[in-house]
Amino acid sequence: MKTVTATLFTLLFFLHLSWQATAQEYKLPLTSGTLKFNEVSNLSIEGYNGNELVITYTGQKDIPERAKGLRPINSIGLEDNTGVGLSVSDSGNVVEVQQVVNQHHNDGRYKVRVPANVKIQISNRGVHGNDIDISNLQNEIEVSTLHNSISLENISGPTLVNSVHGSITADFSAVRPDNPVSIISVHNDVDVALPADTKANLTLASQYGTIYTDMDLEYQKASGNMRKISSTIEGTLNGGGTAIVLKSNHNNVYLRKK
Amino acid sequence: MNPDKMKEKLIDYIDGLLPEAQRQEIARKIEEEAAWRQEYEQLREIMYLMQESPRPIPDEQLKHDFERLLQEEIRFQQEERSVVKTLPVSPAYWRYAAAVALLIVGVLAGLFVHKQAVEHEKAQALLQEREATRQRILTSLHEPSSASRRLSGILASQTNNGPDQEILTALIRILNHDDNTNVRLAALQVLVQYREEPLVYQALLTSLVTQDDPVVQISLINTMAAFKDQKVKENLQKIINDETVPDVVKDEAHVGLFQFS
Amino acid sequence: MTEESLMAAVKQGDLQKASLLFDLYHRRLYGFFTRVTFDRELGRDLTQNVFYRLIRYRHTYKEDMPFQSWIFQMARNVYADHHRKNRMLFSDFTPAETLEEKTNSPMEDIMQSEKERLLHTALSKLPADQREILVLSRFEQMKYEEIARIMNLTVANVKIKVHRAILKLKEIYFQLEKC
Repeated sequence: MKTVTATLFTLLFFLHLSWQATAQEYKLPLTSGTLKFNEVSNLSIEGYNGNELVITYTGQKDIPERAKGLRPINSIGLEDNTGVGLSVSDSGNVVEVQQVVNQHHNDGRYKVRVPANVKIQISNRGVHGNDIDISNLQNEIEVSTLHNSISLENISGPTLVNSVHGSITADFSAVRPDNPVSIISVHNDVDVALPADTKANLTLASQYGTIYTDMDLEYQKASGNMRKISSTIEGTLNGGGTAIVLKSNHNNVYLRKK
Repeated sequence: MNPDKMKEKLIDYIDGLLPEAQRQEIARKIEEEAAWRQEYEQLREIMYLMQESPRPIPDEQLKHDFERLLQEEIRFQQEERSVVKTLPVSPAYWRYAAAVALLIVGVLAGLFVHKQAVEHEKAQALLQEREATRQRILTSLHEPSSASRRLSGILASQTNNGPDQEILTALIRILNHDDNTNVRLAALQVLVQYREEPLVYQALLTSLVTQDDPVVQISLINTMAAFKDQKVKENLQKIINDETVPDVVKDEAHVGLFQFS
Repeated sequence: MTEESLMAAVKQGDLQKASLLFDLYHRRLYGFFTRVTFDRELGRDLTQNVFYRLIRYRHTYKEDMPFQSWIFQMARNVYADHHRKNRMLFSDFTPAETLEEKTNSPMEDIMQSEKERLLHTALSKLPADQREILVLSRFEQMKYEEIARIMNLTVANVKIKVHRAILKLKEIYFQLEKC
């Protein structure tokens, strides 16, 4: 009995030590499937050539003195099981990450490294946090925010992004056939750069703003000899291909050639 | 330029059919002279209205009636052929002649039937291909695990010879219940083109009030306010009076209502 | 397989192929008829009538003719016949009251907006031939060349007719808007 207790204590001691050491970093083996973020503010996601999910928290984490020995929980009963203020649940094909510790009082940021072929889903209905940065990913990206601006760089998968108040910037390394793109902001700019040789069927729309481009659009003249006159422009790039929808209800749409 | 000639040029100008030099000349005229500017704006409005006017879609009954007509015609055609086959023949030499003739006819008919069969197969293949495309679209619309596949399916549905009732119904479901906002918006984009369908228009009117995704609701307001329909106006008022609707949506409804005044 | 070879097959007795041609064209024809007649019910009958003729008079199809031109020529004939038969009932112009009656039932759903309603009222006040050419050129967005082939006119002539019809429609439309 004594030995058992001793072992248990030793184990707990080491566990505690290791928890301390990785308190600012969380890792989980991950090679495919979907990674979902719910209400995680201040988020940077970067694809890399590896086989685990790595979440690093940088910045001030104010834990009150009184909280020592306690663990944070939130209103829907989620617990911080990562040591970085997040709750992670793994249901096989989908790993879900939710924020437990309220972050809107400090300037910390979550840096997430994830294998480049994992699908990403982000939903932020809150009014807190800064831009969401996403880069170097090859698979499907779904982002939906209320206030956060979204910046996407070096991406090449299907892309479905929308925001009510945030701007959306996207720089595609490639647009592949059957990988549709839909980028929509209600109140802010949509700014997208595509490789010059992208084959696409484009829909560009702005009800109250202006559409700018330096790409050579072929305008649709389906069966008639007239040009479309409306707030929606339909056209093709390099003979047509992947469906791309870019829209801003109240602001401008920019389409750039890389 | 005399006024009649000028009016003609304005139409070509709007159609984008003028050579560069003339285009610039007309653009200048519009810029400089208020009367021509008004003429231009009126022409542009009327031409735009015609171009954007939704095309009425027939119901399934039309296809159904046609198929019945076609099958009758095919039956009629076959009866005509069998009448030829049963012509009475009595004298013996006629019978020989007829036998030889029948043989020739038989061989020719065989060749003909074979050719027909090949042709028929080709047509069948085309039909099957089209049905397969339709099924692919329907399947992708119901794909729960991939938002991008649903999006592709929606965008494909407008190029595939126009959607039918089944696809429209699926699009309405997506508009109101899909998990992804961009997917809902794509469905809206297609549905608006078919708003002349009573089924679709009713669904749009309902969704305008009941839509639970603010981004989609804002787009519904933007799009439908332009219809200048009294029912839309009433629904915008409902949105403004609804406590549970977020302010960002209400603001849009106010902007929409403003267009009615 | 092209539309022309499909029709050639129908002509040679492979009637089943007419089904494919129906799929390709019935929406456009239905659109054409409902827009020139303002009547969905009638649009359906006239569309059906065109395909009936397509099967019945299949032997009159000439393979070197674009199928689209041929079927729209037939559509125009069907419309002209209908027009002739009903000359007793309707004059060249569809009176506004008649339109009103019709639009309250089968066509109401198509005119959702004030502007669309106004457009259709203005359209109904055009002479039938101007309405027809506008439907082909602007609603169906056919090229001047295609319309010239269907109507057996020169391209220049078609263009002039379309322009006149647009100007006339514009005049009526903005007069209506004022009142």
